[in-house]
Amino acid sequence: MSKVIRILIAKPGLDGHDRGAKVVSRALRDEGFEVIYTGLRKTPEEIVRAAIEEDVSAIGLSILSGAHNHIFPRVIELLKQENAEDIIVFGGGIIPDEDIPALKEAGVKAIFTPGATTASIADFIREACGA
Amino acid sequence: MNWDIDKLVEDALAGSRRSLSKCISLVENGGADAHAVRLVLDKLGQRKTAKRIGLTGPPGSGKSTLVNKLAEAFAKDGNRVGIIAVDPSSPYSGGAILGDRVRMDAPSETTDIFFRSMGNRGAAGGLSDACAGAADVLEACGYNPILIETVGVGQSEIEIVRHADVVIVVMVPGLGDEIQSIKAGILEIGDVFAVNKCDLPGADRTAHELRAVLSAPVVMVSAMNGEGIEELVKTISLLSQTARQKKLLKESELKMKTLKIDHVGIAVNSIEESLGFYEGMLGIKAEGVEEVAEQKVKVAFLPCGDSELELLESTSPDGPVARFIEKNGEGVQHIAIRVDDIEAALEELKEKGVRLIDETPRYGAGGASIAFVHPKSAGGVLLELCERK
Amino acid sequence: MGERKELFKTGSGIEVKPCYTGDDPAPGLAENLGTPGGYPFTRGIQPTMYRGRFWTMRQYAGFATAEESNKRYKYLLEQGQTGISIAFDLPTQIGYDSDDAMSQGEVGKVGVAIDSLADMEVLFDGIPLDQVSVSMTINAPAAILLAFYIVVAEKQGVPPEKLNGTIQNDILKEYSARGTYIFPPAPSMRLITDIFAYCAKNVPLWNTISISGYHIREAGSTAVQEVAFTLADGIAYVEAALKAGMDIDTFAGRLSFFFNAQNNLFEEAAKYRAARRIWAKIMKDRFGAKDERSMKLRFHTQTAGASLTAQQPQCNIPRVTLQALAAVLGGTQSLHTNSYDEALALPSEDSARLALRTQQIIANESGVTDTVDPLAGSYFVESLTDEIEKAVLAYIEKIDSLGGAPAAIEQGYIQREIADSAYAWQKAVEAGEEIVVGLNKFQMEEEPVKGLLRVDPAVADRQVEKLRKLRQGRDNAAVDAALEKLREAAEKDDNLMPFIIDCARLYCTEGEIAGTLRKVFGEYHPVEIL
Repeated sequence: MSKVIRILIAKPGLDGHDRGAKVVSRALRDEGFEVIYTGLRKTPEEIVRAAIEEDVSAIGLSILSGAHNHIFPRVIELLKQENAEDIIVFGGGIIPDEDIPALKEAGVKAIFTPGATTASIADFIREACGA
Repeated sequence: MNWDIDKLVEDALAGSRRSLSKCISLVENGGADAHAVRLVLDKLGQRKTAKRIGLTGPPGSGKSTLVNKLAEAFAKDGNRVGIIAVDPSSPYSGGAILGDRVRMDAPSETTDIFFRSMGNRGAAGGLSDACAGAADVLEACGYNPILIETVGVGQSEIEIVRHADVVIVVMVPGLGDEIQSIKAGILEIGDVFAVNKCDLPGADRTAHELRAVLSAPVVMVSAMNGEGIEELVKTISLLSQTARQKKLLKESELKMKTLKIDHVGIAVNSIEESLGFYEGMLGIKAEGVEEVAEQKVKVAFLPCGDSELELLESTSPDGPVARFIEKNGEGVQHIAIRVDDIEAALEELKEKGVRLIDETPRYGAGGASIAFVHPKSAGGVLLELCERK
Repeated sequence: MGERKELFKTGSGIEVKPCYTGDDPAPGLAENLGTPGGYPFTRGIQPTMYRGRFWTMRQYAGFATAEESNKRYKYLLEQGQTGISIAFDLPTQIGYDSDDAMSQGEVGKVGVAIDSLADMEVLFDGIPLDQVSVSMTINAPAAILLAFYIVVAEKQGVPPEKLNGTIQNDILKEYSARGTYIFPPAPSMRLITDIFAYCAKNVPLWNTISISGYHIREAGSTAVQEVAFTLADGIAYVEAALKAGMDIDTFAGRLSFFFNAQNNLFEEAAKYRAARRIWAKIMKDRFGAKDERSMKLRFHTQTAGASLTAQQPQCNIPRVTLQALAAVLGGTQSLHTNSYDEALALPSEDSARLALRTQQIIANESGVTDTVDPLAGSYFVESLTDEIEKAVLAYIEKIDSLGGAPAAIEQGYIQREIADSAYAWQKAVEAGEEIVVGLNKFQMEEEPVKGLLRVDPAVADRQVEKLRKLRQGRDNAAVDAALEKLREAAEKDDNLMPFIIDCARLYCTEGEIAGTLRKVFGEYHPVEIL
C-alpha cells in the first residue's frame, strides 16, 4: 500500500481571499492527497504547529496581501527551530517575480503565481516528496 | 526519511510533539511499523485509563466548535488534551480535505492541546483501529482526556465512537423534524446529548423531544459563546465513571484477573437448621464451621463443584448479617469473586473510580484475603473479592 | 454547417441559442421593462441616465500611509476622477492597530493604514469633504471609520448633513466570501442597524451600506449566484432594520449595491437589469415599500480582479474595457476600472491612470452613453434578463427555506455553492473547455514585468512611531473613560454611534475601540466549507 501524502494548506496573514487556497485544496484531494486546511488568519507559529501535529510532508502557503516577504521566511525559520526543516514549503498568490529568488533563497521550494495549474502543483508535491 | 522507531517512541514519551505525531502516522499507516509502535507502547505499560470522549452528530451541528470549546475547558483545568478529528476520504481519489482545524483557536502558552486530523481512508474496520491506536499513542504521551470527533454518518463513524468511554451526540435545532429522522444508530450510542446553538429558536423543543425519548442526559450548549460548556464537562465527568466501567470490562484491557466465583454468601438465622436443607435435601456437605469475630459471624463452607456456598449466621444482634436479615430476611447476602492479586485488583478499581468498602484487604474466613466492593458500584450486589494462597 | 461547440452557455450555465426571436423574451415585455426611471426600473433608475451626467468615476485606491494616499487622491481628482474610493490596509479592516502583533507584515500593504482620527485628518488634508463623495471599503469596523470621517468633516467645518459617501458595511459577504470579519453575526448586525438609525437622523445623504456581490463573484460564484446571494443579504439587512423598529421608507433609499463586471458582455449587462427588477419587486411586494426611492437598486461596479491574468498583462486592458462597457450598458451609478497590472501587484500610477482613461473613452467616445438602456428590446438580452431573474428567484427561495442568508451562511450553504463554482471554473480552464487568452491559449514566453509598485517596509515603523507619539500626547484619562462608556453601552442596547464618535474625538485608536467591542461581543469563528 502506498503511503498517503499529507499536505497543509495554510492562509497566513490577514487577507481573506481564500478562493485559491480552497481550489487547490479540492484539486489536491482529487489527486489523492490528504489536505489539512487551516482556514484564515493563521500566524506562522500556528501554521508550524499544525504542520507538526498533522505530520505533513509539505506546507502550501497562500497569500495575496503582499506580506509574503515577512511571512514565508518566518515559517521556514520556525520549522528549523522545531527540527522540521524536512517539511517542504511552497507558496502561491500574488507574488512579484522579483521577490521569488529571495524567497527561494530563504528555503521556499516553489512559488505558484496566478495561472498555475493545479495539476502542476500536484506534480511538484509528488516529486518533492519522492512519491 | 527513515525514523528509528525506538528513538521515536522515546522522544515522543519525552515530550517531542514531532515524534508523537510521527508515531501516530505509523499507527495510522498500518503495517509492520505500526505493530512495532504498539509493542513498544505496550511494553512501556501504558494503561487505558485516559478518558476517551467521542463526539458525533449531523453535519452543520457545530461539532468542531464544540470540540474546541470542550478541549479548552478541560485544558484550563490543567489537563493535556488530545483531539482526533475524522473526516471522510474521497471514495474516488482516496484523498481528503480535513478542515476541522479551522475552528481551533490559537494555541495558548498555558494549555496543551494536541490536534490531529484523520481521513477515514474508506476502511470501516481499519479506521477504528487507526483511531484507537492514535488515542493510545496520545495517552501514552500523557494526554487525557482524548476527544474523538467524527462526521456522524456511516457505520465506520459509529464504530469509532463505540470505543469511546463517553459518547456525546451533538444536535441542533432546525435541521428538520429531527428526532424521527435521526438514525436509530446515533440515538443508541449516545451517552449524552448536547443541543448546540441553544440560542436558536426551537432549541427548547429539540431538547424536550430528546428528553421524551431518551434516558440519557440532554444538555443545552452554545459552542459559539460558551454557554453550557461547564455543565457539559460536569455531565461527562459524572457519566464517565459509570459508562466507562461498562466498557472497560473487556478483559484484555484489564490488569486484574478474575479466576472464578469463589463462593456465594447466604445469610441464615441458624446454620444448623439450614444444613438440614443443603445437606439433607441437596447432599452438599459442610466442611467445618468457623467463627470470624471481627465480623460477628459464624461461617460454614459447603463446597459445590468449583465453588462453594457460604452460610453466615450472626453471632450478635448488631452484626452485619443480623442487620441484613432484619432488613431483607434470609437470603443471598454477597457474592465473592476470586482474583489472583487482590491488592492489585483493589488499586486498579480505585483508580477507575469504583467505590470500595475496603480499600485494603483484610482477613476473611478460610484464611483468604478479602475486600468488599460497594453495592452502589456493583449494581446493588455486595461484591467480595478474595484471594486464596 | 457544424458549430464550434456542442453546447453554448453563459458562465451561469444559461444555454445560449443560435438565434433569438421575438418569441424569446417572457410575455409582458413592456410591463417588465417599464420606462427609464420608472418601476420596476429594469431600464435604469433615472429617466435620462447618462444623457444627464456620466456615472461617478471612482477608482479604489490607497496604500502605505495617509500622507501617500492623500497625494494619490489629489492626483486622481486632478485627472478628472469625480469621487474617492478608499482602500484600507487589512489591520484597519480587521480592527487592529499597526503596532498589534497580528498586523506584522500587513501594515499599508493592500491599502492605507488608519489607526486614529490623526491619520484620517492627514488622509483628507486639502480635500473638501462637502464637495467630493467618498466611498470607504470598510465593513466590520465601519462604525469606527465613519466616526473618524464625521469628526474630520466637523473639523473642516462641514456639518454631517452635507456629507455624501458610502461605507461598505456589509458583514454578511465577509462571512461568506471576503473574510474580513471581526464580531459574531448578532452584534455585527446590531452595529449595522445602529449605523442605519444614526445616519437616517444625522447624516441623511450617507449611503449606509453597499451590499456587495463583488467579492462573492471574485470568490468564484457565477453571475446568477452573485445577484442571488447579494439580494439575499440585502433582504437580511432590511429584515434586521425592520426588527430594530425602523420604517422601511426611512432607510431603504440609502441602501446601495456593489457588483462585479466580468467578461461575458451580454450576461453581465442583463445581470444588472435583472437585479434592478428583482429588487424593486422585493421591496414593493415583500416589504411593502411605498417610496419609489426605496425600490431603486443603485449600484457601484468594479471590473473583475479575478479575470486579470499575470500572463501578457496588457491583455487585461481590453478585458477591463469589455467589463466596463457591460457595467455602463447595465446602467451603473459609479465604476472602478482595474489596472492591468493588478494580478501582479498594487497598481502603479501609470496603470491606474490608464484604467481611468478607459472609462473616459467609453463615456466620451463610444456613443453608448447617448441614449438610455440601449440594449432594451434585444431579443437575446431581454431573454437573458428573464432567465437570470428566474434563476435568482429560485436561489432566493432556497435561501429563504434555509432560514435566510445568515442561517444559510451559518450552515455553509452559500460558501459551498461559491466554492463549487470556483472549482468547476478552474477545472474547465485546466481542461481547455474555457479559454483564457494568454493563459491556456495563445501563450508566449515573457520577460518578468518591472516597475511594480512596492510598499516601503519602513511604512510600518513610521506608523508604529506615530501611534507611540499619539498615545503620549493625548488625554489618556479621558480616553479610558470614553472607552469604558462605550463598553457599558455595548453591554446594553444603546445606539453605539454617539459613543464611538466621542472616542474618535479623543483620539482613541481604532484598535482600542474595536478591542473594547471585541471584549463585549467576542469574535467570529468561521464555518469552513470545502
